[in-house]
Amino acid sequence: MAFKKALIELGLEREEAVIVSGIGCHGKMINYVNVNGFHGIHGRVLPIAQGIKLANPKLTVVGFAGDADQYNEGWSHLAHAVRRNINMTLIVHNNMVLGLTTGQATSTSQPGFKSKSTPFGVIPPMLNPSAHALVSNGTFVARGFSGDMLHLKSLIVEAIKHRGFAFIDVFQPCVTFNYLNTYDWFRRRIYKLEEEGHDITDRQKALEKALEWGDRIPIGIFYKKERPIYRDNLPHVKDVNLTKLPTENIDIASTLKEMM
Amino acid sequence: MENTVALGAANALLNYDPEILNEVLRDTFKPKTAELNIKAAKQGYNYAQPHYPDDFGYQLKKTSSAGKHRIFLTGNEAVGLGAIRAGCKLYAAYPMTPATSVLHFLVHLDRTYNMIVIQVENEIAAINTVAGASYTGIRTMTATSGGGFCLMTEGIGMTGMTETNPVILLVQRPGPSTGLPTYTAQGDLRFAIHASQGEFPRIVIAPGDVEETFYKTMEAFNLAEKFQIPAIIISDKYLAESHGTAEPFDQTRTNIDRGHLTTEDKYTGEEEYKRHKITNTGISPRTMPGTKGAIVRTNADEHDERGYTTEDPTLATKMTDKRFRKLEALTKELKNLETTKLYGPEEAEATILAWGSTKGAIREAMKFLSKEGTKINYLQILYLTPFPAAKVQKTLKSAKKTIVVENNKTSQLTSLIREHLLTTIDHKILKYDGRPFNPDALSQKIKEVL
Ligand SMILES: Cc1ncc(C[n+]2csc(CCOP(=O)(O)OP(=O)(O)O)c2C)c(N)n1
Ligand SMILES: [Mg+2]
Repeated sequence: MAFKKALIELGLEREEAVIVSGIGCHGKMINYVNVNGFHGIHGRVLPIAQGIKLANPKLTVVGFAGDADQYNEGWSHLAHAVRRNINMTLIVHNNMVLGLTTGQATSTSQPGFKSKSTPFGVIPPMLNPSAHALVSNGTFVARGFSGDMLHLKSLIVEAIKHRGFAFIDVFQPCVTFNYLNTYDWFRRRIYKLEEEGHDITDRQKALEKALEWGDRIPIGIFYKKERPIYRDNLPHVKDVNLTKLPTENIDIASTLKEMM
Repeated sequence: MENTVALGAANALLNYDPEILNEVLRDTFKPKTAELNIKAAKQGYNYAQPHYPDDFGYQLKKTSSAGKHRIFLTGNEAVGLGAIRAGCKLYAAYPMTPATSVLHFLVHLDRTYNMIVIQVENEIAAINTVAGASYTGIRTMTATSGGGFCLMTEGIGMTGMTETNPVILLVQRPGPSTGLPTYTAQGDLRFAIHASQGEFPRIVIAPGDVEETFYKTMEAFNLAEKFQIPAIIISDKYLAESHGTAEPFDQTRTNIDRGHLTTEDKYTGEEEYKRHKITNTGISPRTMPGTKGAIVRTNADEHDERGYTTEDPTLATKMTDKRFRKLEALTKELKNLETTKLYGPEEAEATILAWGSTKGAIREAMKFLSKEGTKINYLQILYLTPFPAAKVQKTLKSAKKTIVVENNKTSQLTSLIREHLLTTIDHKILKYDGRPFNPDALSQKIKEVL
């Protein structure tokens, strides 16, 4: 819903947007929004989405992943996408549980969280995706909450407008399999960074905020900074849409000559 | 510089014009170094000539093609060139010997040919990146070797399901696991044919030399795009990294065939666009995301014509049948393409069947044998999937004795022949020590089984 509203606010035509989704409850996304879509495999939203954007920079590419999808199966892709800074958005539906597979622990489940795969409680501490994105040189790192639709919508709008890789971790409580991190649980803890005068250009402060967990949990934009996007450093295709280039009559004579 | 002395001496033994070597040295080195090398070569030449007069047995002569320029390149460079000529626009890969040199080759040319060549974080990223890019309507490629190909398998299945069409180069080295990482083998044929869960059509092509590598790479791009399926080019360390000479490639020999692709500007779109539309040939018209009036939706889950997820049993059957109808259409098309090649006399004492880089050694061994009066012919199988069963059968029918030559332990080609033709092979000559066949040793082995 927040995403649809964001698309409308940005005035994007359906044909200009592509959503890429992974496998999980969130993956069904492409069935609900009538824009271009690629429902890929578990964990691989980012490589697919980056491939699309590299090929056709005119498309607005938004990836939707689950927390297990991105932070278990696809964890390594996140750091690399963040540092590569291809101009796209990633939204992670973080319900702190594997939903589709009927309730096992993920890497963002809290220690002690009892699930089908952890009947005695999760042992190791949680991964911190926002902090991870910050130390991987992210240029747009934010966190949202599905219980605050308008706020989330404005984050998505900002993320899509950002020239670079924008990452939003979204708390989206799973009402079926996560008895611990419920809407209520979040509502009691969440506060908005912008209401406390957070400086989004200060990475050190942003990291401090991203590490905050417990009685108070921040949402909003942690950090935002312009940095050349990947394509800016490819002078030959900087402003080129690869899908518009000819496939026929690529003359390789000069290269053949060099091989003589 | 000792090597140059040796070259000069070799030149004398072979009674070859020393000026030709001098030219090469001038071509290779900066002027000062070149002159020193020419001096060294001359010393070798001058020493060898009086000391070993006339008793070497071999002489080098200029051939009729002297003066005509041939190209000198590796199999991997031939794949790279084929990809460029075929209009490949994005190449993503992760380094792995012996596939890495494709990345090195292409990255130097990306600015010349307006491509994006990118080293990504791993092979899983590579296959998914080229699949995503392929969905936008451009031609894409990745390359790897065994371990990387293992990581790509899930992604390859996704290309089957989403009907995206990257070209995947698999350069074999001996396994299992890391095996002999810098040596050669043909142990991954079955793996390439079956990689990934589920059933979907694909292409597996095995070129045998640099020339074939170039033309078959172009063919792979055409067929992959036309039939909207992944195409795997299977080569090996020996073909990929050995240098060979060839006639400069004929750029006009293979045309670009983009199949049922409508570019953005040509799309008229009266009815609703359906990316996975069910058709007689199984091929759904393709257009590019971003096209006004068309929503392009694809899905790794089973899906309906529009790309929406489905669990409906009737539809699931229909969509599988649709994808497999493309295989029928492809098989028809392959009748007109060179999927096998026969070398040697029609009538022969024995017929060799082989695929890939064994070609050079086999043809050389045939020459040795024919000098001794032994007539052998050789069927090179270029397409392993779809398997050119009719053409292979025709050769088998007239064969007196059959021999499979392969760089693996279990003779995977024999098993394919048995699978498709319900017949077996008389003799197998197998080598799995990481080294390619030596023509001399191979001709001995052939004699042993005759
Ligand atoms: C390679 C692979 N491993 C495992 C699965 C099974 N699987 C399906 S969804 C899923 C995880 C879902 O959790 P999450 O990504 O958090 O999404 P949610 O359902 O919670 O939205 C898993 C492990 C799969 N589809 N593919
Ligand atoms: Mg989840």
